[in-house]
Amino acid sequence: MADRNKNEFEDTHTPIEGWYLTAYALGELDEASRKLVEAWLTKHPEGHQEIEAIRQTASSVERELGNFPVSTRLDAARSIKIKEAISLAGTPSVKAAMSEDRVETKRRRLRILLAITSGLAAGLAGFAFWSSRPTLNHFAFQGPFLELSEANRERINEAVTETEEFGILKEGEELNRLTDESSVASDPSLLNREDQSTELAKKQTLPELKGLAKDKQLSAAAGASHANALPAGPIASYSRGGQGIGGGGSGGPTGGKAALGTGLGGGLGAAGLGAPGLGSAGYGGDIGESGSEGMSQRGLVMPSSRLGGMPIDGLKQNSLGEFPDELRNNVPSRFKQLQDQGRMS
Amino acid sequence: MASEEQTQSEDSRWLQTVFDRLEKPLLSYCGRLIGLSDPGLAQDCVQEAFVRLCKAPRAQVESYVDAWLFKTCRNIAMDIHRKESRMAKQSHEIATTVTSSREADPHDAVVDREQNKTLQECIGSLPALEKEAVLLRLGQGLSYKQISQVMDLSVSHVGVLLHQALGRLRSSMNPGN
Repeated sequence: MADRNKNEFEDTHTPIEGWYLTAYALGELDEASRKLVEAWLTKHPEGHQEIEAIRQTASSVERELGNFPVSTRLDAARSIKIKEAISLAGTPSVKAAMSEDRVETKRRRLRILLAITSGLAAGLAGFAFWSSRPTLNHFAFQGPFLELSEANRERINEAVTETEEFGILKEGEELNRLTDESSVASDPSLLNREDQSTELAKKQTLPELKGLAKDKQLSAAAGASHANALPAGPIASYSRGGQGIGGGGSGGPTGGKAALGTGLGGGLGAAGLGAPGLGSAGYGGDIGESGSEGMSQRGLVMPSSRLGGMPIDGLKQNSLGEFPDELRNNVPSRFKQLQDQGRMS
Repeated sequence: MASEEQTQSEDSRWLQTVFDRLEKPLLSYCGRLIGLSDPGLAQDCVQEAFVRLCKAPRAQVESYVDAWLFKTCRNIAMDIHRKESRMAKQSHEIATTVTSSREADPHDAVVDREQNKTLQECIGSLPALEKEAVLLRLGQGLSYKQISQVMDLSVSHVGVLLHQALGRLRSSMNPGN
């Protein structure tokens, strides 16, 4: 304490100086501190006046408080009770009671501790659960629902290669042209109208809607959205696109077109759902120009019905992400066409 | 067995000594803490504190029994304050019930009464912690260390509280300075 005081008293104007002077005036400092104060007082004689003033004030207050009218003794009943307590102090019964009190106190503390710990654990568990909940990206990039077999993966890769070889750019431009010509696609009144969408779907399942998968099964496996959008046609694409999440899922029939920037308007949905392995997210080319650049990534195989659970024109995937046979059978296969034309080996 | 009885007897004697020594200071302290509207409450506090002392292990409290008792009284008084909000009246009662004994000369008596009134009001209007430190140090004569034990503060904090409190009281008593 003396060292600390020494440092404090070197600066004569520190705020701490005052309370040391008060402590000195009241006789509360130890020997070393008192010597330090006295040394300080030799250099600062005005400090004596300050100390004297403190003592006078303290004396006045002491005198004042001494005049406070209070009873000096406990009344008889209370005195007797205390005497009984004193006489029982240290007896086995009192010791037992004390021991019991201590045990009870410990138990109470333990209960409180347990309650706090349980609350914290529950909170942590809740936070962990919340943190680990699947997100859109989680689904999109991990795609646990549809595992591509090695054979299918190879076939997809082949398909992509073939797509590039056959000039995806040109096809995209062609699709853009078709999109521009489609007045239905930009008409919101046609949203979710099954009859019209089906009709349009038939129109669109023309050679312009060239899938990139080799066959129907691969098409379904490569991208749920690919297969999903086929029967619905541009209307389905439009409606899902407008809703965001579903947009990508239903935007797949023209696989690869998205790579040209002619993707579905719903950027979020397209990114999350409409990015099947063959880049077939971009049926939105019928709808708008935005948001599908990134959807032609490979490997984003995600059945849209798993996320949104949204039927697309009444047709849903099953739990494995597969679509009804009547859908799959109607999937156009560009590769099949190409094979038929003898352009693929 | 004899040794146990002897220990018990020593404990009782020690408790009786403590009781005799601290009965009045504790009554005074509790009276100020609680106020004078119900003098029985101060007596209740002191009685409860002593009963608790009788149940406490001597070895644990003996070294600081004064501070322990004041602290126990303080805690009991605080409980009462919470329940009945009586401490709000404390300042007013201190200011209105204390009378000065220095009234030998009529003129001095008038001056003293005015000064004391100011001082009483000043004590009553001090911040709670400062007022309590003043009561314990200047009213009961507890040391800084004991006050720190009673109030659960550091010794330096107690020193600062007292310094500030005395500064306020000095300014109030001598407004010109």
